[in-house]
Amino acid sequence: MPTHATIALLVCEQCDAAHRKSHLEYGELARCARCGARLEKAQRLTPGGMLAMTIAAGIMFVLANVYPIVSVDVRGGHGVSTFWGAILASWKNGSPSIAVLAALTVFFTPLAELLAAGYVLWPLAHGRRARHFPGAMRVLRLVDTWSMPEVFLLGAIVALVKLGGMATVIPDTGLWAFGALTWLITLVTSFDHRWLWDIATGVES
Amino acid sequence: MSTVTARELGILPCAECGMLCRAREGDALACPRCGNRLHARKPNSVARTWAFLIAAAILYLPANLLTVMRTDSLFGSEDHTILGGVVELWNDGSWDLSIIVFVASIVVPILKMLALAVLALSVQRRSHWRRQQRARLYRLLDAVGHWSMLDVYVVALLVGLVRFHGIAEVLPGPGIAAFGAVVVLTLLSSLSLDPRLIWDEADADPA
Repeated sequence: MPTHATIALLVCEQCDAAHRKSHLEYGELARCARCGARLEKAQRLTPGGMLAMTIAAGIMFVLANVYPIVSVDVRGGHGVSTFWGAILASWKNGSPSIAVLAALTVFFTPLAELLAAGYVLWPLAHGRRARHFPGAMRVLRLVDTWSMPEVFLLGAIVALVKLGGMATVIPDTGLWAFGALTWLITLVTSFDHRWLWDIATGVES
Repeated sequence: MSTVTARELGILPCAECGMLCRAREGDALACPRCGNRLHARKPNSVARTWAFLIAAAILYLPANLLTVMRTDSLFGSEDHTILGGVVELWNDGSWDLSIIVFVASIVVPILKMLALAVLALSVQRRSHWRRQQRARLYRLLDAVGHWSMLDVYVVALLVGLVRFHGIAEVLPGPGIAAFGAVVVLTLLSSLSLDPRLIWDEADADPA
């Protein structure tokens, strides 16, 4: 059984170099002396502050998925479409693979991130540790690579410009909500997982 | 160089929770804090990197040669490829978006595959060549890789939004599924590559 090594060390995740831990001031960043990767960043937010961001992101997530992202007018035809409307139509029109890919990376992974972050942060903000803390943290780490609302936002802008040539297109509430969601979810998921683990180790479950 | 590595100190950092465990790599060691399996390096890193990379390179051809979408309108129907989409945006006067799409859909995937090949080869050859630059290249790949998904979203949205029967319709082509697969495979490839391998030979050198 491995035992706990000294806590005064910081090991670079990118090159394995060991560094002596030093105190970081608010907002300061430590880089690896050998490879230049980010070692540690002093956190700006407390778990309570991160919880607030997660809840705000959750509200934006609902708005982004409920309201139409765009309305389109083409000679005699008019349509409003939500994110899910577009995904389902793209599924029916013969491209299930990209519909699944888009749904996974723009809906399901951000949803999993928000749920797992809320589940971990709510008790932590109240000085307790969630019962399934390790599982939720694993979900956060696994899902992180595959969550791409920021790319989707740029894709939506490109699609609108392309449509502009053949139709009148107006960005709708859902698209603005996607913009806000992108910003908030980036803040929520950019924290250092090791930092949350260290806090959670200090509180009882 | 006076760097001391965790491996030399007999420490295994847990990839999941970051706990520093005093242990040498052996079989079936679990982190006492989070239960994750401990590995000094990602298992089978280079072989997995190559497997995903080769699959991505093969699919890259259909992704660029086949139609990614087809537009049917009153003015006739038209087939579009990835590169064609960039040219159309440019001709329509949206040169700024055209450059963004060109970078995300063409430059990033090609450079990413080349860079992964260079990194995997140099690690296999235990090369000493430009370690710091290679480490930075890996971090760059990590940061920009997912932006290539852009065209998948553009096609999915256009197909979903433009459905006015008889007036205008956009249909997906076989190329876009291949393109999506290329993006996913290159992401898996760079996830498999362990950047610590770049430095391992330096540590083994009698300095």
